[in-house]
Order: sequence, then C-alpha cells, then structure tokens
Amino acid sequence: MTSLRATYDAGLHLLDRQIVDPDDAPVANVDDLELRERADGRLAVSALLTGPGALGPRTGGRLGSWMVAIWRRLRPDADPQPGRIEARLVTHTDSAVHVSARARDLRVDGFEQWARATVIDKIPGAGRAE
Amino acid sequence: MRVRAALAGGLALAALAGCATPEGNPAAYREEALSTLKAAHSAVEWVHITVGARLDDKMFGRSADDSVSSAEESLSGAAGTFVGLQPPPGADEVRDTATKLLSAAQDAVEDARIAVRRDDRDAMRKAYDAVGKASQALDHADEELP
Amino acid sequence: MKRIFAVALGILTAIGGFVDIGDLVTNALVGSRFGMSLAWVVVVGVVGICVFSEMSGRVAAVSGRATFDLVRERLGPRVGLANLVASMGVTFLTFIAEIGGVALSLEIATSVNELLWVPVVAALLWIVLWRVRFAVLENVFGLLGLSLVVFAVALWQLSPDWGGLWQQVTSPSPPSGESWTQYSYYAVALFGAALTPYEVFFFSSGGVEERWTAKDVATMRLNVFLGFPLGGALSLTIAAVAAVVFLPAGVQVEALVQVALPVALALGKIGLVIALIGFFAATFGAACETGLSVGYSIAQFYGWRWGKFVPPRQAARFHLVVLLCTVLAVPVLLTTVDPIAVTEYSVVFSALALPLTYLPILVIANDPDYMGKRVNGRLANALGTVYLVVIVVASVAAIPLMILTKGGQ
Repeated sequence: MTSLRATYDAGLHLLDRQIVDPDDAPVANVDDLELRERADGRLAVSALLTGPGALGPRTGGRLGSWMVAIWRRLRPDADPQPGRIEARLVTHTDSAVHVSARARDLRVDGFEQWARATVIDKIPGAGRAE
Repeated sequence: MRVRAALAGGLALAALAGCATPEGNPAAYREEALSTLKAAHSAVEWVHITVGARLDDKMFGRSADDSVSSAEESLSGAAGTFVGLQPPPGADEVRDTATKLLSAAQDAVEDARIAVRRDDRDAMRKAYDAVGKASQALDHADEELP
Repeated sequence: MKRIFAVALGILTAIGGFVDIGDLVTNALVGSRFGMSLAWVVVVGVVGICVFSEMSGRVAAVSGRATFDLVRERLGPRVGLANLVASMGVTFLTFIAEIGGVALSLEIATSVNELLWVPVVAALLWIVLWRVRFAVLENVFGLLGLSLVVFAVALWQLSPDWGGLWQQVTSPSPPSGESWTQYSYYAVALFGAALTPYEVFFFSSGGVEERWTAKDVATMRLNVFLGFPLGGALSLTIAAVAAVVFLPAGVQVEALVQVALPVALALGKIGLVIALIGFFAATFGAACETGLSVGYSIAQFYGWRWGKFVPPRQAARFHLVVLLCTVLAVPVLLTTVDPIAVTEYSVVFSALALPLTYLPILVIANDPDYMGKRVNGRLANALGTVYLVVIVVASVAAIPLMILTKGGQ
C-alpha cells in the first residue's frame, strides 16, 4: 500500500472524481475531502468522503441542507458519519482515483446494500450476469 | 385535444396581453374561425386519403379504422373548441357559416368511420365522395365566410 | 471478417437508433407543413451529433470514462447536479414518449387502444432491460429498425417531382401559410430531435460497457460517420414522403398512423407492415436506450456501479433507478396524455438542455489529463465551438418560440 505523497491541486485532481477498486470497478465518487493539519502547518488529505453526508455540506445552500436532512433521516444511527475512505488506501490517480481495497470491504455503499436487499434480490435472475 | 389546449393557452395569453380576443373582437373571431376550418380541412382530407387507400386495398381494415378514428377525434376537438367560443356581436353570420361547414364535415367523417369499421365497400364509396365534398368546401372557407 | 460484421452491426444500430419517435413524428410533421424547406436543419443536426459523438466516443475509449462521470468533474457538484436534473428530466420525458410510441405502433396494427398496451409495453421493456444482453438488444432492434428504409422505397415509388423537392430544399423559408416564427420553432424542434442528449450518454456508456480502448477509436469513428448520416437520410425520407403526399393536400401530421400513410399509398399493405415493424423496433429500441440512459446518468453522477455487464445485484441502485423509471412512466401515459404531444415537448426541451450536455464534452476532449495525445485536433475544436454557439442559440430561442407559437400551432 503506497501512500500518496505529492502536492496536489485537490480541487482538480481529487474532488468529484470516480473512485475505483483494483478491478477498475466503481466504488463511489469523491464527494468531499477530510483534511488534517500536519506538524509543519500544511494541510494533508487524511480521507476521502462520500455520500450525501459529504456531498450535502459541500453543495451548500438549501439544496445541500435538504440532502443532509434526508440522509440523516434515513440512517438508523443517531449521529451518522459520511462514508470514509482512508487516504492511505489510495494507490494512484489518473482519470479516476484508484484505491487498494475492494468495494465491499470499504463499506461506503449503504444505499446499494439496501437496494439490493429490499428490491433487487427479490427479483428472479438478480445474481446472473448477461 | 392539442388544438383545444393550444387555443385555450392562446386565449389566456391574449387576455393577459390586453389584446383583442376572439370573444371580444369580430375580426379576431373570424381569424379563429378560419384557423379552425383549416384544421378541420386537414382532418377531413386525412380521412379522404385513408378511405381512398382502403378502397384501393392498400391498407388493412384495422389501420384504416385507427386512422379514421384519430382524424375524427381531431376534428371533433377542433370543432368543439370553436363552437364553445362566445361570438362577439356582429359575428353571428360567421358563426353560422362556420358551424354549418363543421357539421357537414363531422357527419361525413362519421359516416366514413362507420363504413370503414363495417368494411362496407358501398358505404365507403359513398363516404369517400361525401368526405371529398366536405374537404373541398372547407378548402374554400375563406371565400365562404362573410 | 468478424471485424467487418462488427462494424456493420454498429452502423445498423446507429441507423435504427437515430429514428426514434421524436424523429418520426417531427420529420413527418415538418414535411407536411413546411415541405423540405427545413431539410438543412437535419443536415446541420447530423453533423453536430457526429462531431460530439466522436468526441465522447473517443473520450470513452481513451479514458475509460463515460460522459456523465466527467460532467460532474468539470462542472462541480452544484452545476453538475443541475445538469443531471435537466438532462435526466428530458431523457425521462423522451422515455415516456418512446413507450407511448411503442403502444401507438401496436394500436395501429391491432386496433387495441394504446392505453391498454402501455402497461404491457412497460413490463416487456423492463424484462428486456433486466435479462437481455446488451449486444443482442442493440443488434436486434438496430436491424429491425432498418426496415424504415421502406420510406426511401416509398419515396421512389411515389415518383415525386424531384425538381420541386430540390427547390424546397434550397429555399430555406416558410411556405405560404406559415410564418417565420413557426418556421424557427420547428427548426429548433428538428435540431433538438437530431441532437437529443441521451444519444451521447448512451453511446459513451455503451463504449465503456464494451470496454473500448484507444485501438477501437477507428471503428467507433466509422460507426459514427457512416451510421448517423444514414440515419439522418432516413429522417429526410420520412419528411419527403410527407411533403409529397400531405403538403399539397393541406394535411397536417398529428398522429403516428399518418406518418405511415404515404408508405401505404405507395407500396400497399406490405409497405405498411414493414413501416409498422420499423416503428415498433425504432421506438422500442429507443425506449431501451433512454431507460438505460437515465440509469447511466444518475449512477455515473453519484459514482455507483452501473451497467448490464455485471449481475444486477452488483449494480442494485442502477437497476432500481431503471425499474422506477419504467414504473413511473405508466401512470403518466395512463392520464391519456397524447404521446405525440409528449414527443413534441420532449424535442423542444432537448434543445433547451443541450448546452450543459455538450460543453463539458468539448472541454474534456481537450484535456490531456484524460486524453493524452488524443486530444481534439483543430478541426474537432473548430466544429465543436461553432456547434456550441448554434446549440446555445437554439437553447435560448426554444422557450420564447414555444410561447410565441403556442406550442407550434
């Protein structure tokens, strides 16, 4: 697991990019970034944030607060946290952000699991590819 | 259906703009009549072409039926909207002439639809001629209208 | 040999997919009211869709990313979301129109009312999207849609005054009885029908599904530059037969059955059957494409797994969206709204949504980050920029013209 060391224009190269796993399968989008301050005062990306919990505050305005409100309502826990992918899992970036873990191990896809369990798995043929 | 909706929209717009509406102004009413008769002519000629095609055995009964029924719907939509307009004073003659033309057209189209649905060739031939006449009358509506 | 077959099928698909309910109805309507005087708009539209399809196809092949993926990256989440809502809205409207078109085609063939067909068509459509392989879908409906070539045969059979038709083509002005406002409105509508956003989404997403690489760019270009113009030519023949039969008779096209009438007159029952098969295939194929495109757009915007190449349970959100669309389309059509009216609005709103769709493509195709050495050349950029101006003009003019002409009356 190589960590990403570079000075980045995060806005250009990270935000809103597709996150893909080692098989090039889509994981999520980079909806926001978690930053931490290093000892020398500069900022580093500590994690990628995804989901309405991250996109809502970043979109801002009324639309953003609606997104967050709906998301909070649909999450069972009292103080839900947005989906989080540690920065150390990022291997490299090209047109997408590549991470070293598989989608199911990252556990940022609550909606997908809900859709699968509630609707899709109930329809015959859901497990078969073309 | 569409003609009705569009006419209703047009009336609202005109009212908003403070312009003369067909219900207030005889010239606008005559324009409305002409436009309705033009739409009616389109529907009637559509029936004419369809019945002709059916008589020449170029169409299946079902498709001809669908075609004539759609045209009939369009015609009654246009006619209904116009007849529902309140004629301004001085426009009564225009109204009478227009509604006579529309009635004749609707009768001819109805007969055509019945004939096509029954697959009655004699009736279809008769209807073909009647529809043709109605179409011609509507085509000359501008000269007919006072 | 196999390569040639693949190219041929791609071209056939482009033809079949280019004449959906919007093109069928709008071209016949325009032919019946304006003759061939708006033919130039179809030509302009075809060149435009070629330019942008080639760009987005190249982007998909070189970067492995589809259009909507990149829209959000370049425009940011807020503008990207607005774009998503607008494009999706238009595509969903088109989707509803296509289902209506399938139902209408069946009504013409069977005399069973369109409303009764709507739920059947929606169910059949969803089953096809759930189970049928992408490639089969494309090829079957592409090939069947090719039966619309019967319009060209019918045109020939009608022995029109070719000189007169050419006269109409070369005099781009409204015929007597139509105003310049009407003419401009239908120019915008025809343009919107030729450049509907879903075509680009579907094309680029399809490219990613088929795992195009830079080596596939040449094949992709062949598909685009042969397929779309042939599709455009088909649109023109539909307009031409309407111009020959309906314009002199003073008949305005307002129903799908009228679109087929000239073919019946020229070629009899056989011609009519072939035309109806073509209508069914073109509208059903387009319904598949638009349904998938709504799913593609949303999934790509949010970064979800999408596509038909993985088992549905691995792209659950994507399939949920497609299912929801199909379910929601039914009650809309069951309000007895005229699918032709829905079609006419969908093409005008397409024109509205165009700038936001095509600007990002132009930007991305110039970005060496994504494209490496395959960035736009000068020709692509020149054409792309010119078209962006045209697109913005059409988009800005769409709503005022719609109000001024009361929806094309």
